[in-house]
Amino acid sequence: MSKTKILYVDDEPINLMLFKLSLSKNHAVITAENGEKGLEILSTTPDVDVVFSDMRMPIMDGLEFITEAKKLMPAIPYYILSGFDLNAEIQNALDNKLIKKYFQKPFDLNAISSEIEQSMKPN
Amino acid sequence: MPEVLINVNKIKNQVANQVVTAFGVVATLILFSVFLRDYPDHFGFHFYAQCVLLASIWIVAFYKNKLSLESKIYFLVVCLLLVLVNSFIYLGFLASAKLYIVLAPALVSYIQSFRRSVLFLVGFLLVYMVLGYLFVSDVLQVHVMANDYILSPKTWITETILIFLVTLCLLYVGNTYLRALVKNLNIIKDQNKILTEKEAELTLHRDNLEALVHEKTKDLDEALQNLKVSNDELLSKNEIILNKNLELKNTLSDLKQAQAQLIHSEKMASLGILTAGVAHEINNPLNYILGGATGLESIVSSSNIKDENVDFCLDAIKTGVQRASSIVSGLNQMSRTNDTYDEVCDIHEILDNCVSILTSKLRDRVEIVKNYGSNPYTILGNTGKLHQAFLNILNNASQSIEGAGTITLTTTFADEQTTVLIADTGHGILPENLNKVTDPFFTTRDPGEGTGLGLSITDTIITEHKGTMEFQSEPGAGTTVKVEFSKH
Repeated sequence: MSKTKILYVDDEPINLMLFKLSLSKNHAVITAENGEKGLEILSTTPDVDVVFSDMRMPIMDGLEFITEAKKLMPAIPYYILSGFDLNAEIQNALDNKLIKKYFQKPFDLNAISSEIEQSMKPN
Repeated sequence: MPEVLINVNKIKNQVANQVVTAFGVVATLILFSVFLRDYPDHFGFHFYAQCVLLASIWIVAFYKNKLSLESKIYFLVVCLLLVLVNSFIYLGFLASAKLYIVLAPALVSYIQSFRRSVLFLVGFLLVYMVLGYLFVSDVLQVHVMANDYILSPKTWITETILIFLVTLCLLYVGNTYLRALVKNLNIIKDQNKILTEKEAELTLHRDNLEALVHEKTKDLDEALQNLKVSNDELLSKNEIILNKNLELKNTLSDLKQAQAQLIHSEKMASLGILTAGVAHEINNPLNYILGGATGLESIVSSSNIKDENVDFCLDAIKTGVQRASSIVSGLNQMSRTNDTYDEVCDIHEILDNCVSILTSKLRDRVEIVKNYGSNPYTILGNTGKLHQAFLNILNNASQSIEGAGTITLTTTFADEQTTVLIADTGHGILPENLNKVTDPFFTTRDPGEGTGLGLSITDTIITEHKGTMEFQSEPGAGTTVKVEFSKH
């Protein structure tokens, strides 16, 4: 069984490094520094299983990126991992099923791991 | 009555004056008749004496208006007495002056009382008796021969004239007195008539006056009635004004509250933007720290480093990050600006968040005792607003404690009612301020230290959550705030 392939988009390299470090033991983690690069990866790597994105980023923010990404890959789950508290914008995205869940930084590794596991189960 | 008395005296005086004049006339006539009788045979001292008396009578008659009533009458009586004595000494039993014994008391009776008149009569009779005794005992002798005297026609004529004159005098005086009385009676009658007329006139005036008074009273009544109506109108107007005033007061109070809320919302909105930004900026470094620690943990666990201090250090980092994160999260929740009331709010979580936010203020000074009920207490509402509400109460509790103290948080659930008690050991609230603590801008703190909006906002928020808030306080002992929510 191949590892779950995760795309993580965040504009801060340290965040990307830490995320990779924390999850790469059990998962294949691909990272992107912004939404555009994330979309590029998605278009070239169709076997991405899960997408995590930061909220506030240059060029396009997390939700804009996910909106575009969903057009490319509508079937996979999308998550927001942000330093922001749950706000109306994110709540709206949750209500519209644009994202499956919302995680707050500092991220809880266990919570994220169990969520990934759970989302992969039906497959 | 005194007027009548004076009138009677006046009449008596008039009578006396006429009597004096009549006496003068009568005495003159009598003297003349005596002169005819006695001249020349019996002429002597008694005649001259009578002439002197007559002269004195005329003098009195001349000055009658200047003399008093009594003195005139007594003078006449004395004259009669002297004439009597004089006549008796001369003529003895034959003296016609006996008539004066009748005349004198009769005269006195017009002026004096009946008793006194009788006394005079007795006095005259005594004199008569004394003279009689003097004659009988032969001390006095009669100067005339009785037979000669009696048989003389002059004597009879003189006697006749004398009787006539004396009787005439009595009749005249009586008649004069009667006439004067009748006249007086007529005067009284006239006066009475005039009085009756006056009385009738007075009655008429009185009637008019009564009518006038009645009319005026009626006018006054009407005026009073008008005044009453005006007064009523004024009172009702006053009531309207008072009501309007009350409405204005309420409106003003509402406005103040709205203003307070507006200011607060504005503040919270900017605070929300600020905290959201700050939280994001803090959460990222926290993410580094926690991520770093997690990374280190896995590195350490896969390597051969065996040191219990490593675990301690990693736990310390994790605890620190967790605490910082919970404060940021609490701030976020407090400043959340959405207006929906359908969030599931965990009362215990909210209270804990508020305590975390206030940690720096409470540390080492105020002990927090939590008597939470065993079940999770949740209500539907607005998390952010409930955070504000409880934060305000806790902040007040903390500020009321000078030096060390305790804040006890108690939650109970019974009869579909969630109750939160926040009890502090602070300085308490004065009884007169207990009703005012939720008024906007009411504060007991120094200017600049408190806006007076905190509990007003809290009260509004609790009310928006269909809850109630009560204050119990004892100055010096502390305050307990009781917040109750009924289950939606």
